[in-house]
Amino acid sequence: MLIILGTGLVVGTFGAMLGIGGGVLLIPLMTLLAGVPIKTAIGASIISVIATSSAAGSVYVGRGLTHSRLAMALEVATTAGALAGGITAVLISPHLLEASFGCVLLYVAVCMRKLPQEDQTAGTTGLLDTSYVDPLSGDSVCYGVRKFGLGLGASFLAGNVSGLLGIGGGIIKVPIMTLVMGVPLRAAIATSNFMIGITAATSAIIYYRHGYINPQIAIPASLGVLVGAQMGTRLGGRLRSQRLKQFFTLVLIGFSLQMFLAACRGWI
Amino acid sequence: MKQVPPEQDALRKAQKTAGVLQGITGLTKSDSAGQDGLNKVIRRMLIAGLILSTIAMGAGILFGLVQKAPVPYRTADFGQVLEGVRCFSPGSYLSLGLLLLIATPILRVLGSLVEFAVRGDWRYVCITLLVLLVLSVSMLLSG
Repeated sequence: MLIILGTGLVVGTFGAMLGIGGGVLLIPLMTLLAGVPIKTAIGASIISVIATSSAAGSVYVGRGLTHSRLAMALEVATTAGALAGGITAVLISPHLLEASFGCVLLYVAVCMRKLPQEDQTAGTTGLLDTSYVDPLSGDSVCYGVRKFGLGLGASFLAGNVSGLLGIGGGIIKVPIMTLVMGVPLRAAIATSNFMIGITAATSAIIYYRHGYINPQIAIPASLGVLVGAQMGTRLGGRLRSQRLKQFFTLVLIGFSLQMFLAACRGWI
Repeated sequence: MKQVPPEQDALRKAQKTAGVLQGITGLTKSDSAGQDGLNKVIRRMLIAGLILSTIAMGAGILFGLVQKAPVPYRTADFGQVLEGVRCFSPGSYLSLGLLLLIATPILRVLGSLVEFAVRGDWRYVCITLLVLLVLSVSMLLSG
């Protein structure tokens, strides 16, 4: 129980800092280190994603980093995707889940390399223009949104992956918002963090009804995450965007390899 | 060019209506302040949900320790939760905490819906309603 509480603490910190909700970290840690079956890990993860999103969200929203309107618009697509994913997850074999998880992570890691060095003022586009004050430099950053349709499509996919794998889908939403839609990394992290809560809630309802949420695992994990997320938002504010990006990529590569290993072990 | 263009006229009317609404709701006038108002509502909803679910989980753990009952490995059904809460069943409090946690983002969406409606932002009222529709379908299908 203490191991899971500690895992939750670490996962919450990184999840909030990077806007990914931490499912990406929690599932491998639980299945590989604590020997929790993948479906139970997914149930606990989806609960911790909600905990991270709400705890970190309350901080990021207060700082004005979250683009609430963009989030709400993309949420239509992402919840629809999660709905589709949640239904299919019950029917798929766990090893196929692990392998597809690994593929998704590796692909996103490759994409992240294309990100610009620092948050540049993307400039207003006339669509959902907004601004925030960078917590490090104190400058006001103005930006608008590009390629909204593509963003909607990608959000549907992110929701789908989230429903299938019990992650918030932040690992897809952050790159899409920064790479395609032109949202600065810091704002993308805050906005993704905000959205993953409702994405996860959609599939969490289905998992709850199916009995995949085990209180022995989910309760300590979410309590740890609640505390960790508070620390993560504070740490994230002090880090440079470049450092955040490096963390993000590193996390992705490391755990995609581990998931491939887990999938291989299952088949042999 | 003495006549006021219709767009400007409509804009002025809209601003007037918004002003009346702001008078009723006590919201500030400028647009960025309006965004702040939305954020404030969202923030309060999130914090309230988190506090309530943490209290329920804490109570569940406490009752479990007092009654020396093991933590269950399955969550209780919706009906059982309410029944168990009345007779201080630890498992039901833990399940209630989990349910409250799941409900927190949904509560946040409902809060935004009210806030968009109050500010007369009908496009976002529709968008928010769509999100809620998907959530309801999810609940219905899982039943």
